[in-house]
Amino acid sequence: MLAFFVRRLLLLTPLLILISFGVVALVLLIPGDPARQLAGIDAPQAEVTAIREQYELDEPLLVQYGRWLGGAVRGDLGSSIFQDRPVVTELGDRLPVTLSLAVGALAVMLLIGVPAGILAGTRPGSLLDRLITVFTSLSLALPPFWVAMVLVVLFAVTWRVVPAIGYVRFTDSPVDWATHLYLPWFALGLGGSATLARQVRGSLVDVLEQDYIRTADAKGLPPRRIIGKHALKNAAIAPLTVLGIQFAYLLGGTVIIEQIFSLGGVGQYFFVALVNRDLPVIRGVVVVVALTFITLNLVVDVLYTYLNPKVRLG
Amino acid sequence: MSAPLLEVEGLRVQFGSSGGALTVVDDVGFSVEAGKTLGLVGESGCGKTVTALAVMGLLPPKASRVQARRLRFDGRDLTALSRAERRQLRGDAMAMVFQEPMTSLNPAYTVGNQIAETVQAHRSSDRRSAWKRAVEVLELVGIPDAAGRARDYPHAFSGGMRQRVMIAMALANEPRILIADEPTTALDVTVQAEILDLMRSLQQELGMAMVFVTHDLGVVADICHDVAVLYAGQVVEHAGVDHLFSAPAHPYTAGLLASMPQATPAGRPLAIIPGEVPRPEDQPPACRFAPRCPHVQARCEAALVPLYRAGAASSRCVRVGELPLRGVVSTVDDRSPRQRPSPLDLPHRAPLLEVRGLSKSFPVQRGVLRRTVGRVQAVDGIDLDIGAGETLGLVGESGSGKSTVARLILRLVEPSAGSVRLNGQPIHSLAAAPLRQARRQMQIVFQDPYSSLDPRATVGATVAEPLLVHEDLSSAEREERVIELLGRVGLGRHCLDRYPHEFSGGQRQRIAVARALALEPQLVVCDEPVSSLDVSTQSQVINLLMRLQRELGLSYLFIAHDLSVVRHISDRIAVMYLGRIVEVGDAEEVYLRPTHPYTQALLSAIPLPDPGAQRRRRRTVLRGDPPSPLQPPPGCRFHTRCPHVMDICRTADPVAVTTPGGSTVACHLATADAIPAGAAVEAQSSG
Amino acid sequence: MTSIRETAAPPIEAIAPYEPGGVSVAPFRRFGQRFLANRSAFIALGFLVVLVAVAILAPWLTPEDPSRQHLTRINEGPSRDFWLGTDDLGRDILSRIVIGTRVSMRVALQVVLVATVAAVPLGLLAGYFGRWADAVLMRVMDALFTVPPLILALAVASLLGPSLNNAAFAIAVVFVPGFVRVIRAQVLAIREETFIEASRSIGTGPVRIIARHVLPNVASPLIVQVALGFGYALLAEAGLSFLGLGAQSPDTSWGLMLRGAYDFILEEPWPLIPPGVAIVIAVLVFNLVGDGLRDSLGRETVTLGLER
Repeated sequence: MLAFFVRRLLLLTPLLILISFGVVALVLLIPGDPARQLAGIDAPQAEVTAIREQYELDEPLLVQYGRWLGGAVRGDLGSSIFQDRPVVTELGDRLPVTLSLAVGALAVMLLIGVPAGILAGTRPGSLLDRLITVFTSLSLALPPFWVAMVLVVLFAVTWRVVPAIGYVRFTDSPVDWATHLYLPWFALGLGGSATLARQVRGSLVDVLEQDYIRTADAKGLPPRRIIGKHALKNAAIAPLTVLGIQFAYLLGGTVIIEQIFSLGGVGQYFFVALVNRDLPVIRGVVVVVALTFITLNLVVDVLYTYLNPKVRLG
Repeated sequence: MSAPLLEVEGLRVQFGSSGGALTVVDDVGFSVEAGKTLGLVGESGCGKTVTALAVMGLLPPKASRVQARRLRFDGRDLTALSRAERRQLRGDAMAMVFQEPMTSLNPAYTVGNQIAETVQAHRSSDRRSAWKRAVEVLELVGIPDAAGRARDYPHAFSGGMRQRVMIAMALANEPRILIADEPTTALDVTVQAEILDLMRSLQQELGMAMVFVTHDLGVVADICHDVAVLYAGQVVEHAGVDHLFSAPAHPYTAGLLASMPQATPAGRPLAIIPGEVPRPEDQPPACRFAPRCPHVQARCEAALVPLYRAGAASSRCVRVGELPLRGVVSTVDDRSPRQRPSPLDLPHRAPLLEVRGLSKSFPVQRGVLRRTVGRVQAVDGIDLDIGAGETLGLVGESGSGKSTVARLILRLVEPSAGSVRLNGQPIHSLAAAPLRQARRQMQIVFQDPYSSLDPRATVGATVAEPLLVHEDLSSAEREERVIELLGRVGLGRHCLDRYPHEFSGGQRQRIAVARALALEPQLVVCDEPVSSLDVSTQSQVINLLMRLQRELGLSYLFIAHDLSVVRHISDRIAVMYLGRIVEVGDAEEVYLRPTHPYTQALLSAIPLPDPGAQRRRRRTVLRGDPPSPLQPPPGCRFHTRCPHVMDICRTADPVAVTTPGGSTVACHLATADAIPAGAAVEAQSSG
Repeated sequence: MTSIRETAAPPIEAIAPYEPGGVSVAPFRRFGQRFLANRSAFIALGFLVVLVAVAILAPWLTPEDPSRQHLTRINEGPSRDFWLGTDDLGRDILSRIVIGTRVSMRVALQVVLVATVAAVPLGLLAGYFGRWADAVLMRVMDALFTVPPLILALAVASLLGPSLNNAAFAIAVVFVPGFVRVIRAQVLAIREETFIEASRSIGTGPVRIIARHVLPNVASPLIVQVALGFGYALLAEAGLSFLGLGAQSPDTSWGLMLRGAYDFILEEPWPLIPPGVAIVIAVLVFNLVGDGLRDSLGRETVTLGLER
């Protein structure tokens, strides 16, 4: 297992170099004079010059990269242009919020998606299957932020069963923490649950056509056991491999959802940076999100080896 | 005479909705007694597998409809049982083995787990005793170190070993009847011989009945007591195995027997059954075989044909008894000389194709870093010659490297070492442009006619492609050439604008042959061109290839795993084992007087389409699977499985020597001239 | 070795050449029949035609000038004057939805076109020629994949500066890795097909093989991918516009309309409904057409890099 991890990490080196370089190279996207653009159109010339020097914007890209990477490996992602707080500090403060949101949404996704996928996949063509297909098609077409707003109008404004906005720390009050997050979780997790349901269904339909399912049937096993033991474990492989990607979509969605519910997590921090073109913050968020994604995929790989015995040897 | 264990009468299986129901099996009946084996034989699409699944109760209940006048097992009416009761029988009193050992085991669980599960599903035994039973049956089917291997996952087993595991699983609860659906079709012929032996001895030991589904008449002759021949969803003949082979009562059975390559002297056109098995949606209304039958009369197409009794057999033919049908009458070989001498026998004639020291090794990469952990020596220094107008047969089992040889000769794969010369031109070292020119003279026909034709190109475009690439013709001239080529392979001009999916396997193979002939090549490499085809279609394509050779003076490199087909079409035969050629010589010489122990084993593993001869024959059965080409054994590569292995074989590579019969053999026995005198005779005496 | 009756069967020469019966069915026709048999895809196709028509004819279809403000009648519900009500500046929502159709469809088209034009050569290069080009390209695609699409699109759009064209470009950038992967995977599969080997054995050069055999067989999964891409592009554009990084006033798009509605969500929720429903219908239409295409294109199984 250790060797497996070491090999995996080695394999990641070129990827990490590419990502970090790409993040630094984001500066190339800014049209015209980056310093002027970053400072803001109305900023005085002195401020523009200060920003140019502080971020070494007239240095060659490779030099910028070297400095940024040098900082990054020491845990320094620079500071926001507009507030003087270090990016890393801000991210550390805000990460619990975003993780609360994303992990809860993941739970919603799994709790809806997996049962729906199994129900549909074990009886393809049935009425239930068609109803679930309607549900997934519709959910995939719903913009998450629109769902969020409609939920706010219904549950927070009209019926007043949950608060509309804001975040309460879990350590302050677990109950309030949850009531503030029900709507964001659902809004964020709904689309993912539809995708997952479709993947589980498709994978299960495929697996149920495999020869070894017929073998299990020929052994006289009851249908419950054929599905429970022989089908599900194999059918889990395909959806699991994309679960990391699914989680990345959830993280992406937090930017809008946090904005609507004023949760004050990384997503909202990122949003403010986007509006202000706060380059160090944008870089920091992108890199942290990418690292989260990579870590998650490592976890998925480990789970994968459990499901697929062939991989264990290799 | 005991009562039959399984009785089937008037079985009918339909698929699809009631509106457009498709009758796939119609009025099928047979019976099996304990201790006996019934063969269900027929070509693909005849309903054999569906029949087997229907008897087991394994057809999907929603999509299919099974009816029967009589479906009794051990005195119980299966049609009256509930689904739960049928399930209790399955895996217990009735067990089944499937065709594909590679996919029939669940990859996510150990084999021991999967066998123990069968035990626990039907016996109230705890996990430990179920596991014990699993190890016991694994031992029974001859898995070495059964206790240890029970903890392995299916991917750690070879195809033959997996089929043993499948058999072990089926036998776990000592079934009264075992239904085997083409259990050896996916296996190599030497492994097939082992599995057949195993099944026969287990049957005797356990006294169970077997239903053996197969398309291979040799297998039927080898293992079955009674046979039901299926054609287009019906049983057309039901008889004892000796009776069926010596005096077939239905023209289809006679046609099948006649079209086997063994039935015709080498080099002569094979008997064929014209046309193809009809699809379920367009069955002829009366006698379903009538459109293909050489004895057809007006009354055959007048009314439905019942199964007539004809002595000890029954036959679905209105002319039963009046037809002079004959089966396999003799197994004495006609040792008639070849019709033409091998062109290589003529002195001072340079061969068309000259292959020297041809080798290919592929890197084996493992792990996430794709590190090269070893090399597979797929082809290891082989020499071949093919004369103008000659056919060289290349025989070997899977993994022997024969298909790689085909690709190396055409340089579709770059050789690692060695030379290939066509008309003296060094194919192995040509640059890209001259290579493309050189390819005019050598063409290839692939095994799988389904993947060798572009699904998005019309037949006309496919056959015209070589002309477009190499010749400067007007489109009218080109079309004329394409029509002429299609005509040569027996396809009409209306095929031009059709797409491959509209053709059957045999017809697609004809299209592939037409494409190969477009540039008038001198050499055509045929890579298993008939092995994916049914018996009756196979003989049509073989005849076509032989006729084209005569008409166009082609040379063939004919690659196959079926020695009887190769022997029929070839002037000379080369036998490959693990990347090396172990024996090469005149076709009749290799076939009748094989020298290398592997050739002998290969020949004796082919079941003969003659039950009497098959029973009398003493066979060389090889033990174990071929070693992995990743770690070929040192010395003679065959020594791990060779029945005559000596000390020297384990260390020294044998040098090729010429035998008195003119063959070239790489074997220490031949060098020492110490081959057991009886070995060769034994291998062929029945063959 | 065994003898047989001589008259068992006529020799092959005596048989007339095989002529197929019936009517030829080209793969495309076969696909068409299957697609039309799929009811939901067929209906969705009808809706798609309407959407495209509205997008093209938008300026002539609006009941009134979409930017005309009725400041006395802001945030109204549906009425005879304003079928879908008015927004926070008293503008006719129906007219804005109609004009928004044009903007949203145009952006989706831009996105998909740019992504396809960039991805096809890259996918072919990586898949057919392989080796180092493949290694380098796929590592870059992997790197792009580690950043969630929306975050990457937002970052690119923000740095380029807020405008609809920049948003379209940013979304296209996000699409490229998924498209390249699909094309590459398909090319890799096709390259292993025997018919490619057969064509090589004839002496056909690589360019001709790609044009005649690879591209036609890659086309169908690509078409599916593109159809589903439209839906995703619409959603992404709405998201970017909602955050202020897409369409800018006085232009209008459905996402931007939602942004306006959001500010008054506590007082008057109605203006949320029409643009939201418009987005849902449009995305649903593209997804259903895409699903229908995938199911009717038969033997090609398509794995999607960006199902949502």
